[in-house]
Amino acid sequence: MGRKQKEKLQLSLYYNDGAVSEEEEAIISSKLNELSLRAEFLAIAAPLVKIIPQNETGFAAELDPYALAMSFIKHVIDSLKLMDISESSLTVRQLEALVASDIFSQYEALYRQYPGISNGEQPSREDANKVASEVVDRLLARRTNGKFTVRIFNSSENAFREFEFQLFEQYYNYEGDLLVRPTTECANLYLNAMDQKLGDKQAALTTLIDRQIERGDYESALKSAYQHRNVTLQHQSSILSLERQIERNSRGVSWLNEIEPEIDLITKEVPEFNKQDEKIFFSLQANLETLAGQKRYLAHQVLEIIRECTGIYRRLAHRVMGLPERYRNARIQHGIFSVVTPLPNIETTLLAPIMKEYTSEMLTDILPHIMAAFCSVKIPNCHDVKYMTEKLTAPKREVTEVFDAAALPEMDELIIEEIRNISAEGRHFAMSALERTGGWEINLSQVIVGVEEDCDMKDVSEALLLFAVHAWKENGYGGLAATRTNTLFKSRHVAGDDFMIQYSSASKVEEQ
Amino acid sequence: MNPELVRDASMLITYGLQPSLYGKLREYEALAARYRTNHDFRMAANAIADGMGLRVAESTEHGIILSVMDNLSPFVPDVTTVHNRCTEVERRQLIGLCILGIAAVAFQRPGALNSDTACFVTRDEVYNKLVAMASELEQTELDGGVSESARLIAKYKTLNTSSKTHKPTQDTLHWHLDQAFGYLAQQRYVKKESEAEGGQYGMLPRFRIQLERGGVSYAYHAVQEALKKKAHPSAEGSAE
Repeated sequence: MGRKQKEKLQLSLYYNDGAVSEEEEAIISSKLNELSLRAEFLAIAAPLVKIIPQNETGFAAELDPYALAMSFIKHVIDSLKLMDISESSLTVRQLEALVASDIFSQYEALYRQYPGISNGEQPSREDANKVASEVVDRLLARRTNGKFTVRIFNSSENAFREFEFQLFEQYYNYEGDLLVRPTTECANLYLNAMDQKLGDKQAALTTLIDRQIERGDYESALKSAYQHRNVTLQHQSSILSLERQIERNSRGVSWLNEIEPEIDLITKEVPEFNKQDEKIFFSLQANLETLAGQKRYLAHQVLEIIRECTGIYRRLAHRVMGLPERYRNARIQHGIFSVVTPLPNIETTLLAPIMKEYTSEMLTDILPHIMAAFCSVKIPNCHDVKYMTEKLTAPKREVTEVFDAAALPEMDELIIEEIRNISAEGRHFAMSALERTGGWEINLSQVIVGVEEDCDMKDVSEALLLFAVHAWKENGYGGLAATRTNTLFKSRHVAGDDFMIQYSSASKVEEQ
Repeated sequence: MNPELVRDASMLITYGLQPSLYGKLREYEALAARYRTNHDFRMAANAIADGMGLRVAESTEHGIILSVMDNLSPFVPDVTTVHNRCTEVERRQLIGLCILGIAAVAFQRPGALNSDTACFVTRDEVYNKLVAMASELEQTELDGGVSESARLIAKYKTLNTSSKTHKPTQDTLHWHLDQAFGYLAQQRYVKKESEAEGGQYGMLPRFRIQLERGGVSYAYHAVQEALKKKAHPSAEGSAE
């Protein structure tokens, strides 16, 4: 017998008339759906308790996954820029280091309290690093693009269904750093999601804090202030998510029924909460001097939390002011004209037909289009005969710096010595980078910056700089010509004078 | 129109043509900010880009991302920019297929192009995808025999490596994929994250944005156009 039938039976027995009306049936369905939603909320926590690999032994097998998982989420949430859920400052590498530190702390405590676990052998940082990398790998779910899937039993439908969710997202910023941010599910899990409306909860909390402060109960006020901050963060997260929804024209969004009432509510609520927080802040600040001892300490802590919340609401109030206009623009663009059309799938609409249908001639014809669509623009050379002649016949530029270390005679030997010190791998990568310039004249700084994005090896950057300096001093070095420019550059690993370089692969630098 | 404004707008396009300057110059960032906030300036920059067969695909606080919207533009990249040894027709075609294969595997998840969540791909995944598609085609009876792409991939799918460096030799699909990845990395389109499975690469925002804001649609129309011409060769002849 299904859950729905059981509930119906219980209800009919309760009323003792054996009949259940349609309204009552709707209530049962809604109760069961709610149960299913609560089960989903529980399921979201499932990956967190399975973060320690099962084949671990020794200290690793004894780690507390609960504290570790919560600390993991805290690191990610703490990294949010201005508490904006879509922008984080935490790289995956930094996260691994933080988790390794958490694991090592647990190792030390285990060693202190239960030395028998590893027969008295001291835990090592390397072990912690290794486990940390696995923990990060599991929670970021790299193999499944961050997605977790669990099977949930839906009581109202009396059937299983797949429930897919994500706790963290990896994304690149424009500088190319791989960062981690929490999803809304993760933030809700950490901040104890509440089923009450956020605005109502917040209104109740600010009133409560106000009264607790009036009564002089600062201990309770501090607890409420922490809750107030959690709700503030959730509130912010929901507002930013609404903003994104408006801009992305998410499918299934009902503009009139969902977005408009939400905007109306937010534009009223946010300035109101900002005002309330400011009121609490100023009254607390005014009374702080009159307090002493423990009360003063607690009041100060409450004040700091309220200051943080006031800041968040002030920024939100500013954003919310522009929301109605953004909504109007988005509605015209997406809602009325519906300019957003689904993009063609690259595999099925481009790769598959080209693979299947194309002859050699067609492949040659389509190539420029593919390159134009998928590759970066190419800067053509301007063949200016006058400029080229002037450049070739110009006298060598005098160096005017007061102290020019690179021009000193003893620097020659030093440069050659330094080039020899570069690892074979570094030289090899530097050579590949020079070959990729395709014989064009290019700034050394551009090549180095490109290489650092690619492989980030200090040796390679140093090799390129040394090759260029040597080529400049010797009027060429194994096919590499370098002209010193008046500008300086600084990359991740090296800094110095910039050169215009041109490489001809006919005679290689490494053969010199 | 104010000549100063046009000069500054051209300067923005000049900076935009050099991906390595992205986020590196204060003057560039100031012009990018002006592009986002000043309507006249934006119109001028868009008109200049348009005249050169380009399009401002995206503007951020660090700069702009330009994409080519016309294959007659002087800025159209060609395969020799990927690798200067790729002068033979076959190699050029193979590099083109590799770049397309990388994008197809990396952005295969529905909605991947519309989301800023990172997408990763390994060289071996792309290799396996291309080889699987080619071998499937080899087994299928096609009207005009085996397709050119399938023939190319079958020819280069060998796993030869150099005895000295243990790296793929130039007669392999692996080598061509390495060159394609290397080129995309140099253009700050992808970033190598690890050496796993021949190299794991993450797709950087520049690449996704270029594809999302017109790149894929442009290629799609070009492919459809070519297929139409193949199906009705006489229509093309009569039009001429």
